[in-house]
Amino acid sequence: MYEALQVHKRPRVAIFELASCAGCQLQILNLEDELVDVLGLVEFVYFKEAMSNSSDEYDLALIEGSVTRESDAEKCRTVRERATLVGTLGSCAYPVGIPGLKNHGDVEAAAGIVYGEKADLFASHPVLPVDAVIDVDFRVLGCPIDKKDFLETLTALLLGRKPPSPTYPVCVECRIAENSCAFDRGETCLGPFTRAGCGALCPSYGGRCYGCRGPADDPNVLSMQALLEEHGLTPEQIAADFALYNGYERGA
Amino acid sequence: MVDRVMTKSALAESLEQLAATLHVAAPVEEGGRVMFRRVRYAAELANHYLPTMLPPTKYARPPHEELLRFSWAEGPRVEPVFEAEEIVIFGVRPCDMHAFDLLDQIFSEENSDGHYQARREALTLIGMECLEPCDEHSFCRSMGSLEATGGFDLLLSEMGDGYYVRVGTAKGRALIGTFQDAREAVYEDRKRLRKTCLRRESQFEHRLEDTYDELPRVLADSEDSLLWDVLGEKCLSCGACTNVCPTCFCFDVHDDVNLDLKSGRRRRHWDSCQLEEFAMVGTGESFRQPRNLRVKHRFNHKGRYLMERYGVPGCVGCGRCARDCLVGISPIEVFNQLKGQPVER
Repeated sequence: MYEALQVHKRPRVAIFELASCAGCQLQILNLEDELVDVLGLVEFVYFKEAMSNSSDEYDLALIEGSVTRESDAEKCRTVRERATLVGTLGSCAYPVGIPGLKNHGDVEAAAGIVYGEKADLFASHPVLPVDAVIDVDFRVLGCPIDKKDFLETLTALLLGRKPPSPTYPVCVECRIAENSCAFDRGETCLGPFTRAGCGALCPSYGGRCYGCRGPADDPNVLSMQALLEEHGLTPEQIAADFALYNGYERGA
Repeated sequence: MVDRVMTKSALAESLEQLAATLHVAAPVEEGGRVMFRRVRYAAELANHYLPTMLPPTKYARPPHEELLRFSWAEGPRVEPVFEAEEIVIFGVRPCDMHAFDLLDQIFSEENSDGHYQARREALTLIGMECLEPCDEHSFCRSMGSLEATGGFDLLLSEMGDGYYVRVGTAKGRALIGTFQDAREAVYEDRKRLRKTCLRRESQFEHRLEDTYDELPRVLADSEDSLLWDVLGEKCLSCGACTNVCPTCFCFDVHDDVNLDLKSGRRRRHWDSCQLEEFAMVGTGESFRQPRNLRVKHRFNHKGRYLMERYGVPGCVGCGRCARDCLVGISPIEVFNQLKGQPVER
């Protein structure tokens, strides 16, 4: 599958934005030292945060954001049809991120809060991650995405390799960083559940993990819940903790 | 080699002189955890008995390490990378010295690993004897690693306001030669050291019901123990135990390709038998996917496989894995329960 891109000399890349803050696009623009090299490798044909051109012809599509209405889903399907490879950028697209918070309240009421009297004009449904609507070939994770991750994904795709993504949880990187453990400080943390790859960024700056990269492969959810309860969280608080980024329930 | 005696203040001064020109690493306390870090002043040192978060073996096998650089811009070219920095590690505890000994065997004798060796040879170890136990998680006495039997260049034993210094190697002798006010030890000093060591013995409990040489048999008899299932249900597979372990040595190798797509570097990274991908093969099957099998593998590796292969225990009883396990999996409990205590589901 990943060999597909090599046939084009300088693959055309389009970046699409659904419900999100556009911060992941900005992370690409933040690659100030590497951007010139990146432009030598790919041609951006649609990149709203960076340029005004647009094109319906592209090889590699990147989708940022969550699906919150039918027109988003339609957009995803069109992109899937046109692109050779489709990947997602950031937490809103996977696992579902901050927009997913809407699912934990009254969806109709949410439209009213956001659009006021004009709410009727904006059809809104429960929030979905992109991979709930179309097949996705790869994901660049994080809130926002990690710049190095993005580059590694890009080079892997251009070489026909599977983009690298750790299968293990954040704790692995956190111990290597010799961070103090949030649980030892009397706090809680989603590090044992969450997929690594961020270099334990938040814990390294004295914070905790909120789970923005979604679950690691095969997390021990039952033991994780027991651990959080042992550290004083109620089942409701645990659910809310997971809901911040991981609010979309995936079928078994 | 002649033993020496130094006052604490003389040693502090000598260390600072050394640190002025060399990388000196020592246990430093920061936000409640103790870590080996580069130090410049003796005042930075933690006066602490708890093992450091990561063991000092991290200087011989860092978490991420470059192995080679490659390029195929003008035909294939490969350039091996051997990185080694001269580092004096101060305050290495006996458990960690035993770990260095084991890693030396693993990386040097059977499969000679130039990257490890280059780093290791550039290290000078100044050991520090433990005169009192660190906490309830350590079981060094049961694993035969309370006493430093080798691996050190210098070994310090605290005696009152000074140190008794044993010299282990020519490197250590050269180093102590540069220290100010290190007088030769006399009969009285040796007598005092013996007394100190005797007093120490009684303070360290044997926390295992077995001596370590019985562990291989106990583990072999426990292949089908229910305990593995119990532990498998608890284990978060977060890899904390193996990352903080001084004798763990598994790694994974990745190629990082530069943006020219024509060159890059091959690096190795710490890996862990507790992670699902560890035993995964190219076609996607994992030979140790169930968590209970991964846990069982770790304890067998520590208590049985390494012993069978190298004749020394694969665990030095430092207790780091137990201290850092979020769900309280402790080797003392595991080994003792396997010995015969009933396993409750």
